[in-house]
Amino acid sequence: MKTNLAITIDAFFIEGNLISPKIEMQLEEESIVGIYSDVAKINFLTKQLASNPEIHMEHRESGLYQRLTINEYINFVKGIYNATVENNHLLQLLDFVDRRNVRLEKLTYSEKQRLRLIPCYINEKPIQVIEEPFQNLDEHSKETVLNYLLSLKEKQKTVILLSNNMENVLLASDFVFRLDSEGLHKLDVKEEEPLMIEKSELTPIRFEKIPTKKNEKIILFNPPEIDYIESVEGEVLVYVGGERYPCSMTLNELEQKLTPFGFFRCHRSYIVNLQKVREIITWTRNSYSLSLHTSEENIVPLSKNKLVELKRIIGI
Amino acid sequence: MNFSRIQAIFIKDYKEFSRNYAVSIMVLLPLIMAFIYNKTGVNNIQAYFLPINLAFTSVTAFVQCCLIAEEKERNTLRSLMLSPATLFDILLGKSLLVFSISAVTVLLSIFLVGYNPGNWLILGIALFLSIVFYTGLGTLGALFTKTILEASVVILPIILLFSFGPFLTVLAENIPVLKVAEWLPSTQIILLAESLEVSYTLSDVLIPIMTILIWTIIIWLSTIFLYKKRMVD
Repeated sequence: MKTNLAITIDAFFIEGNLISPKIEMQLEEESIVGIYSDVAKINFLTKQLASNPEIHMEHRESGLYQRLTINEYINFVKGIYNATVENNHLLQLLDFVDRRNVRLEKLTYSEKQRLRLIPCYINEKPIQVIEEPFQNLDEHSKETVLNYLLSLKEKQKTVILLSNNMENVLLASDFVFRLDSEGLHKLDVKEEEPLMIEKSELTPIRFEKIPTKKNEKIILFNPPEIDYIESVEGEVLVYVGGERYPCSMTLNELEQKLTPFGFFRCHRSYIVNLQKVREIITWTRNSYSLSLHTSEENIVPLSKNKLVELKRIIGI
Repeated sequence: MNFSRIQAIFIKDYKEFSRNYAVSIMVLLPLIMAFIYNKTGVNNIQAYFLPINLAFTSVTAFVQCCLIAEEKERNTLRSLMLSPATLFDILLGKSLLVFSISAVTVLLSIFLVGYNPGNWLILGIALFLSIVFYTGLGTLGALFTKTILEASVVILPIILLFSFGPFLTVLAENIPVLKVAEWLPSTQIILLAESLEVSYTLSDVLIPIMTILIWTIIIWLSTIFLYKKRMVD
């Protein structure tokens, strides 16, 4: 029987500017939850989560004792947490079996990052929060960490991954959330194959979401989430919250699909979400740009001949 | 307080200490000094106690300061504080290690310098209290240091004041202010040792021991107070 764990975090302001909104999360037990956000929000989240007694926090820059060997370090962590886990088991999990007597200072960055995850396995708390578990790791380490996270799940722990890189969050998570100033959004992540079957059935379903592909996974965005769409060298990129996602549809198809949602083809290779346009910038008499109202300053070009049409839509 | 945690910290710190030659080499300093003093043939108490008082500062206070400063430098203190180990466990684990190292060094220094105290029991009590005092001094010093480099700078005034402080009493005839140096724990232990050599009264023994005890209590109380204040964030 799976019960739900609830976490609430209050909003956070600096000098009246909203840094992080109020968050209410329902966590399913024995799952891996990924939260994707920017560095400022992650820093705030780690501080808040660390003070929760149910949560064990593993920081990105937790230090290691350089002069201990791997085996000695495991013994030390076991002593601190009063744990009774077989050293061999941990060494196997993190793939250090034949290197147990190597001093930590001799390890590579990726290996140190693997080692810092040991406390997650042996502490008693039900929720493990890991900041940036995959950042800058080599391929082999990524695989090891991934297996390690799955074994945490087998130990009936809930794992929360925090990262400012969408790829890293998608890699391991069962549920993916995106945290921005409006709050926490759940992303619909589907494995690629089921979607292919759906397509082949050719049923005329009215489907409004925009499919994009990242890391062998297909992510579906609601049209209002999208800031703008760009076509570069034949590849269509959908921009959401400063991150870009390749899309397999063409700009013309997208234009047809998105026009009812208030999107506008402002340039031969751009479609913009008019709801997010803040300012029309006039550079010279013949050159214009649209400034978008998003987390980062985004500027989208506007063709001269499209300006007339835009003015008609806006009503000036 | 948890014995297995203190033991884990003790073992970890012992391994770190013994492999960090920049710090562990300081143990040799009082020993070499004691050996040279013995060879040059000194035989007064004042000289016997120079390597011993040096061991207190350059080993006890310095090693304690370095062990804590290194935890800060490598960012490991934060992980430790997030673990179930309390600040008390951490400090006790380290202090026990530093106490053992210091006790061995001080006894070796006494042996090497060729000093044979009049009363081992009374001097032993004073040495024990002194080590506890200098451990507290090192812990206090670590509060103001973030790296081993800073720790080795902070330790210099401590060595000057506490190890060489007893010599200030010689100058006290010309500069009366320096009479204060008489109340340093390092001067008091010399006074105690001197009176142990001749026939001594109860007050000859009690005054130095009480002075060192008061120093110890003050330093540990202020250390605990300041740590509580500074470590909250």
